[in-house]
Formats: sequence, structure tokens, C-alpha cells
Amino acid sequence: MKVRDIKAFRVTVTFLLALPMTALANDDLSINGFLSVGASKSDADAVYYEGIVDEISFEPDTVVGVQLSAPVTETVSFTTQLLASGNKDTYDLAADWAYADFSVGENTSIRAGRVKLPVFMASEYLEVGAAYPWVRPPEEVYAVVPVSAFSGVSARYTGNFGNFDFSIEPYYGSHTESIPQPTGVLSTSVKEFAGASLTLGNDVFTLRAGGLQGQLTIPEVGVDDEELSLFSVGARIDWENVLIMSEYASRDIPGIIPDSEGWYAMLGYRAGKFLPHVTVAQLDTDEVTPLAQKQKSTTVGVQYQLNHAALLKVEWKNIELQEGSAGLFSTLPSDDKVSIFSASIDLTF
Amino acid sequence: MKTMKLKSLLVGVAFALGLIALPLQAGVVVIGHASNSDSLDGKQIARIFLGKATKFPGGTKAKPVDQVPGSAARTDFYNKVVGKDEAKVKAYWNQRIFAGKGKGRPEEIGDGAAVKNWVSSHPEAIGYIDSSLVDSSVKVLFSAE
Repeated sequence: MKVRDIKAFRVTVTFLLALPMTALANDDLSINGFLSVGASKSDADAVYYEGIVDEISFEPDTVVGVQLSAPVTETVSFTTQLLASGNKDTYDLAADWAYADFSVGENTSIRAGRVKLPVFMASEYLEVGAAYPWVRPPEEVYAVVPVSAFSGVSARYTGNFGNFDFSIEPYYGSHTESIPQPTGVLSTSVKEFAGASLTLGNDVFTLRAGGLQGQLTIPEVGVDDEELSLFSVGARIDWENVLIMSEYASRDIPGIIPDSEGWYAMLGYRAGKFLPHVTVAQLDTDEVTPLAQKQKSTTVGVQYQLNHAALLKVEWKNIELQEGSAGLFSTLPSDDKVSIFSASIDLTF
Repeated sequence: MKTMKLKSLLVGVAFALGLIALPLQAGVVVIGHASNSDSLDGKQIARIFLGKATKFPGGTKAKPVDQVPGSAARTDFYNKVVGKDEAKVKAYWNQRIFAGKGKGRPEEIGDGAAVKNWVSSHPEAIGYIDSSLVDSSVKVLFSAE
């Protein structure tokens, strides 16, 4: 982090922390914030994923956010999440999502605006480190769909039968984003995409599955209005002291960006304030192209609860690149076995 | 040897005191407004405190209130009635809140006396206190063994 960045970051944090004091005057406004300060270091001579390099860096895993939610009428509310994230060039504040929520009857709500793409188990709280046990969710799955929010509408219907709660979330919208890739920045736009996700669970077990289709345009690689589809499924078991999580995602993309699929499986055990965990993951593709991302990894980590609001996490990830692929590195590292050490402090307020 | 005996004697005395103290240190009870005529089981209470149900079984609106973190009644309530420890509950709400599904989260009111006071003046309220604090201003809806 450059000194200027740190200053900007401090100003942002101070601003965000000061916000609740002035805003709390309004009883109905709810304010929730989160802060993750993360550091990571790899032993590879190439940049990994969102900027992990062979010296200690804070940028990739440092983020602060504030969520404001205010009722407009009995059935309409407005929610926005402001994010200042370290993996952007500056710590500029950005509204990561902002939507109006309309309650239609007791079990249905409709959101319009900039909403989160409900694809993965942790899609809606990707930036909130305190909501999952890793420093960052396994990128072998989460990089398969490198988009977390879109402009459009989503509906949510919730219900329950017996001890099981379920929700169905259909959505429709469009999205434009510049996504950095090993070959340069891609001006990606997805039009007219439609998808749905289904979540089913009880106290112990949660299952989520989803799919979406859209029309993809990426001028840099000659993709013009071609069909894209995504599929994902995930499960979590949180039983007594045992925590098991697993997800799978696949994408079907036109043009030179390879179709890919990724999965991970995680086993954790809650021992008092400690939650040690181990995760195996793989990202793979059948396509033979220089852009193929193929890697396997094993991650061992522990989460420690510092107090009611804060977590300390430490993890060590061992990546094995497959068949000469650079995996999620920007360029091919000289060794196909790479270790990454990461630590973070995550809190919510 | 002497220290050993002394130690076990002390442990014995402490244990005995603990046994005597146990009936006095009562469990946690779930309370509602004095006018509340609902009867609830542990599962229904858990659903209200996890934001999965927003109404009492009778159909009236329910508003759950929490004691502050660290209170013995709070620890007891979540372990015995909701069936999740506080770390799990915290992780659960972190996920719900930042997914925009934080509606219905219990409001933190204060200690047991503050919760009793708040519940006694709000017909929709549901809270929990140590049973030694119960008086006629509130109604016991459920008692954890």
C-alpha cells in the first residue's frame, strides 16, 4: 500500500466510522459495517488472482464497507452498500449495490436497482470476511463467474415446509464491467440475462443451486452478442462442531475464453474460539488454449474469534498448476507449485 | 499429601456450594408482554430470534429483543433454546444482514432488567431473562430446562 493510498484509506475509514454517529438520529435507519484488513504473500514470480505477489501486500484482501438501509414506506425500503476496496487502484468509495425493495405480500419481495448476483453460497456477502471462514472464498469456484452485481430486477419468494425453509430468486438484467485478464482488460457486457437461484435449508443443512443465460459481448476478443450460460450448485452442513461446505460452478462462454468448471470441498471443526479448516479445490477446462486455467489446490487455515465483533484468520494455500497452464496467475510462474500465505482481521459493526 | 487433601477438600466444598447454589441460580426464561396469550415451543422461539418468523403463532407481530453480548442469560438462551452458540449466531446474522436479509434481527436492549422493562411496555415484544428476575409485569412464555 502506498502512503497516499493509506492516507486515502484512513480518511475513508474515518468517514465511514463517523457516519453512524450522525445518522443514528434516525431510528428507522439501520447501519451495518464491515472491515477486513488482509495481508498475503506468495512464493511465485507472477501475480496471482486479484494481485497477490511475492512480497507482503494488503491490497487484495483489504476492504471496508457500510450498508445503509432505510424504510421509505411500510412496504418499500432502500438499501445501499458503500465499499472502499484495496484491490482497486484507489480507495474511492463506490456503491457496490443500491436497490429499492418492494414487499408484495408477506412472502414475496422485488428488488430493483443494482443488485447482487445470487449465484454462489457467499455471493451476497463476498466482501464480508466475517461471514465465511477463509481469508477469501475459494477462487477456483468464485473466479468462474467474476461478476458479483448487476443492474436490473430480482424477485424473492420465501416459504417453508416443515423444518425446511426455501427461497426462489428469479432475476433479469444487464451488466457492463472491465475485467482484467492475463491478456489485458476486457470490456465485458452481458445483455438480457435471465437466471434463477433456489435455496433450501434447515438449521443444519443448506443447498443452493442456480443458473443464468445471457448475451455476451467482448469486442477485444471478437465476441459479439453470443450466448453465455452459467450453472452453480453448493451445499453447507453446519452440524454441532462440524462445518462442511462444497460448491461447483461451470460456465459456457463463446469465443476464446475457455469454458471452465471449478469445485471445492471444505471441512472445518469448531473448537471453542478456533475453527481449523482444510479445503481442496480445482479449476479445470476441456479446451486447449493458452488461456486455459487449470489448477488444483489445498488450503489449510484457522479462524480465531478475537471477540464478539472480530475474527483473526490465517491460511496457507498450496497451488499445483496443471498441464503447463498458468491457472489464475497473470503469467506463467517458473515453478508450477506455489504457496500463498494469507492472514486477515475481519470485523463487523 | 497434606496439600493434596486440602485441595480435594476445597474442591469438595466448592462442589457442595455449587450444588447448594444451583437451585438458587435459576435458568433462562422467555418472556412476553403481560397481555400475550400465545404459547410457543422452543422451535417457534428459535425461528423468531433467527428472523425466520415475524409473527407469534396467534398471528400478531413479534419483535425479538436481545440482551447485550456477554450476558449469561444470552449465552444460555442461544445454547439451550435456539440450539446455536453465539459465534454461530453471529456468523448467521453477518450473512443475512449483508445479503440484505437482516430484517427481523433482535434489537439489543441491555441487561436482563432493561429487557424486562422493555418487554413489559411493548405488546409485540419477546425477550429472555434469568428466571429470578420474573415478576407480574411480564408473562413467561417458555422456560428452558
